[in-house]
Amino acid sequence: MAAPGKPTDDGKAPGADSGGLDLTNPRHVRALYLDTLGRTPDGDELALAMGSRPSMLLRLLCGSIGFWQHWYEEQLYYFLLLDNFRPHDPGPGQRLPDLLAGGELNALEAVRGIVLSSAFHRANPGNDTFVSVVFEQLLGMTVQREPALLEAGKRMYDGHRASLWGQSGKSQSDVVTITCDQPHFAERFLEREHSRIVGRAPERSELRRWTTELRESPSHFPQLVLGWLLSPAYSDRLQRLRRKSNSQFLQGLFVDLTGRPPDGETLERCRRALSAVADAGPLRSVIARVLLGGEHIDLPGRDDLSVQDLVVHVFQRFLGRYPGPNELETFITIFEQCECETDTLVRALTTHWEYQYY
Amino acid sequence: MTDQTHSHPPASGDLSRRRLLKQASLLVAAGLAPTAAMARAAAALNPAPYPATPALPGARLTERVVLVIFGGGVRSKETLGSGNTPNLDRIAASGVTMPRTVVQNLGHYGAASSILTGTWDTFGIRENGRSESPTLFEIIRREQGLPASEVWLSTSGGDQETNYAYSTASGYGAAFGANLIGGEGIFNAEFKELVVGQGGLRSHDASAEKTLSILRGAMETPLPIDGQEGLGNDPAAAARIEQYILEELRGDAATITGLGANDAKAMHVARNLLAIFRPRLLTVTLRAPDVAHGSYNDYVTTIRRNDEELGSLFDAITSDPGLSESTALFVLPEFGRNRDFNARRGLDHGDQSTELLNVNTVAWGPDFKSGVVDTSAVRSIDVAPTIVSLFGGRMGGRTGSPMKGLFA
Repeated sequence: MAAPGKPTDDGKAPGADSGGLDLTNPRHVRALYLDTLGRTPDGDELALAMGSRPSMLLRLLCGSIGFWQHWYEEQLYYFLLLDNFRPHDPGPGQRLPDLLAGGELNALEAVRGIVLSSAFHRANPGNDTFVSVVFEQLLGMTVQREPALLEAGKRMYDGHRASLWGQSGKSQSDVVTITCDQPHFAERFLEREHSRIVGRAPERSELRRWTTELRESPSHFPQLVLGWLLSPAYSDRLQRLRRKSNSQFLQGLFVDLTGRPPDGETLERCRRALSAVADAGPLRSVIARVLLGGEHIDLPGRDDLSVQDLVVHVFQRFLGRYPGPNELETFITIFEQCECETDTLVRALTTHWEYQYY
Repeated sequence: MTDQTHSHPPASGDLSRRRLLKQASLLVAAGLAPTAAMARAAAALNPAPYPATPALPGARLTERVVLVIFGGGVRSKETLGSGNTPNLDRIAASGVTMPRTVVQNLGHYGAASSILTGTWDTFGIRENGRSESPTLFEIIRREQGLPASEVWLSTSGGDQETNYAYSTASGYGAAFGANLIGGEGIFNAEFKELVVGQGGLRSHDASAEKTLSILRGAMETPLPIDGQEGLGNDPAAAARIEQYILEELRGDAATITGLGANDAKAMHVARNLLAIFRPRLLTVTLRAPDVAHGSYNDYVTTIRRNDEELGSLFDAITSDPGLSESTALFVLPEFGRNRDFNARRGLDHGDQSTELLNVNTVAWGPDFKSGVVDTSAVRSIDVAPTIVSLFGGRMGGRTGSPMKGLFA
């Protein structure tokens, strides 16, 4: 259990937001984990991170197997290869995240592999749909404005010889390969990855520079991400709360409560459900309540800590921040007066809207 | 004191520390006596009956609108008069049919979104983004001042279709969006087992909920949020939605299976939403007929099943005295399909044929003509402006136009 923070002499909580990435601030550490691994850190990871330098921690996170597993899931989500359209699992050692973490594949090759998979083919049946999706998803094209290109792609898909951007082909895989050869493929990839991780679109000049770098050194994607997370843009983003994606919410909730992420099946069941409502708030609360009611949750009891330390502990563990004076006073008052246990405090935090942000 | 459950930051203003502490001490002094916030929370779970709904200002009799996007790519030749859709036939027989409804082949998502925004939305087929033009939900909610609980969407799909609820248009967005449920995503056996199966939710404990409400109400989030806020369901509405979802999970929606089950669930959910929430605007989006890419027979089977569900929805409207004389119904697909079979004896969509780009719109309601076929050319993007006009409003200048030929 991480030791609860105490207010400093000037009354500020340790790690209070003061601008810039600050690993003594547990909220910043949680944000880094959510943006790189898609989940919050467990207690040990948090303690380790809070004693690290940012560049050192980010070298550990970016390019790790957890980083690539999260990246892979995000790509499947981007291509909507979900549920029945999820690609076949080739087994340990052959999975794309394994190959990426082992340096046997780079990110751009992995994207091409996903689009060449039978799952992608099944999810996008017919020449019009397949070619449109390839152009749109890989290059950001509006196919309605490029009817000649679309028709050429459809002919190529159907097995007839045709030309795309001056390259000849006559198969479905040729459509994908030629599209991935276009310079805009890497640029579009970096643009959406930057938006996903940093929460905003990149500057055009920076995007062009990163695109050149990635095309010259295709395995450098983790290093680019590391640079983004150390950038002023990311520090600026940390001054505001960003809404967790459904996957981040679920994985973070499980780690915060049980110390480990959910199994893939549970995650997918819950993610599907949350994705099926415009206002996921009520359903997120239902899931939090189910988990608190059913799983063994390792929470300190009434006798383990003073009430003040208990309240500070749950605020830091679940929100990554120290409670304000009014919050502290009210939580202590209620906890001392009611016949509730620590899980009541945790339930209040995990069903509050702030827990849905990071 | 305001409970701050679920997804939404408080709409405006910070909690008053003084009031908070005063109420907290009152709570303690009274041994957790009920507060106004607690009373509101309790009321949320036991809502009062709905007040009578006034007639829409732009219409004489219409108070509610139900829009069914009979989607997945459905040609006219497989619907009216084909023998596949007896229920759509009987709705058309007492309503208006517009067989020259022009659509665009923008992918299922873009074409369906176009119906909701009244503009041609050029999305990528798998683009998981929102329209830049406001939806009819947002326009109606903003103009009429309706809460989110009055505007609902029931979809058959998952992640992408959830974006139908609201746009990214300036001045609109989530705060004016529709509540949306994708039935297949929630009401399936696996999620049911997780939530209401073994070790599922504890039974409702009013006392514990009161304590939670006090604790949440005391929280003071120190940082602003980045981006859009939520739909604006207040805690009472959120609690009712949560209760509805739990009741539906305990019911039989999760047992609906077979070819086209996703669409059947969407229609099932729509019927229940209509009965429970009685929204002013309810939209259903279907898509199962897209199995046509691989099988014409399956395509026809899904159309027939969807027609059965449409019949049940129509019967639910016409058999309810509170709905039958005051509800308008629109039914149309987002586009048709190719004229000719593909190599798999299926039907794709992309040949720009009349079969693809001309569909039927059927409209039925107290302010519409009855038993009329109107052969004038209209567009699928005219549906949203027509519905908005029924609510007494107007869409922007770059959208379609109200279908004046419908009105009696």
